[in-house]
Amino acid sequence: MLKFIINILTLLSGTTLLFAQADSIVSNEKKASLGLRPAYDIGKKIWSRYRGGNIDQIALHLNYNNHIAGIVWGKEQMPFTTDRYDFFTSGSYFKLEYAYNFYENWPGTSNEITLGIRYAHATFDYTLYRFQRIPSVPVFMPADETFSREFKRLDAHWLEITSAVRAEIFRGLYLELHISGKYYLNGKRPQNFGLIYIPGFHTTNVSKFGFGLGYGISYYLRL
Amino acid sequence: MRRLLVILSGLVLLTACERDDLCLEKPAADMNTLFINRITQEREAVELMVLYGQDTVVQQRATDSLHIPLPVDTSRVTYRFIKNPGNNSNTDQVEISYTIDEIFISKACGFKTVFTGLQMHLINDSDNWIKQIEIVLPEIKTDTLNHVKIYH
Repeated sequence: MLKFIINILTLLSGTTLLFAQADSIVSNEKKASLGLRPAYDIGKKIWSRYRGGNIDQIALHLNYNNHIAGIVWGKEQMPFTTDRYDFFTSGSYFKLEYAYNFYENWPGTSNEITLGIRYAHATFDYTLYRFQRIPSVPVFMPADETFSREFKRLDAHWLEITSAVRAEIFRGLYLELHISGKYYLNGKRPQNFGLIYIPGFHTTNVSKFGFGLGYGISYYLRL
Repeated sequence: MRRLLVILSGLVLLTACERDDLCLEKPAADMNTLFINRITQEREAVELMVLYGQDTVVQQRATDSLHIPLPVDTSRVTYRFIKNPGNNSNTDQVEISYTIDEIFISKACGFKTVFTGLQMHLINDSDNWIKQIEIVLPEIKTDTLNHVKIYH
């Protein structure tokens, strides 16, 4: 319930930013602007560390006027534990992005409210190290199997629709928030196991869709 | 803009909702057994109790078709099949052995235990009510197929 309220507030805050533009003076000068934005994802780092794993994600975006082209790279080591099985994912991913910035900046600022699409590809391995056998009647005892079963050279391709808000906090340094919807395309799945976690996509669902929220910092370099 | 972003950052610290999946599949397959009258070659119900060890009741029914569960922590058991457990009972012992294997079902369910290479051995006594055991399908994976025929 709390998460639902938070999601609604996040959505409302984002739309408030869009309305705030109505008051700004639109500049008549149209100079071509070019810039480079390296970014680091803090949200995934904290989220992964909290769960006993690690995600490093960096991005590089090229801005030309309001068009943005970007690449995202990430490396992950993540455990996944449930009552019925435990496994570990290790892998990396990259994403290619095109986005458009809808926010009208005053000259000299580079805040952004963007909408974009991405193509993503991840390669990874699973190590399954425990699962539970449950009998069909409670008269018998369950049993844990522990061993090391590896599923190597798995991969996944998917598409994303992303929206990001980037605001300058001080000279050149920006705080960014993102939201994305993901759609799984295809990839090499493990034999006799599930495609349960994909680096970059994170936890999968029975449907091909996924959803994510995130935040990070970036530095904008005007060229 | 700046203050708004600080507030938003605090909110986004929490992860998005994750749906709790439910598992609706049975966690292990059962040995489907038919009871057949040896003379008429037709299915015939028997009043039956199946025991594991001294007194663990595995199944108890009057029927001609029974799902018999197997344990998942051992690959060899001896079941006692008791005909007419109330009065005039007759107990036959059967040794059952198999290989334990698993099939992945889903993220919510994990693995389903299945049994392969089923073997059954009737222990002869002075008065067996079970005349013959036929293994129709030694791979116990689904509920819809019959695995064993017990002729009585």
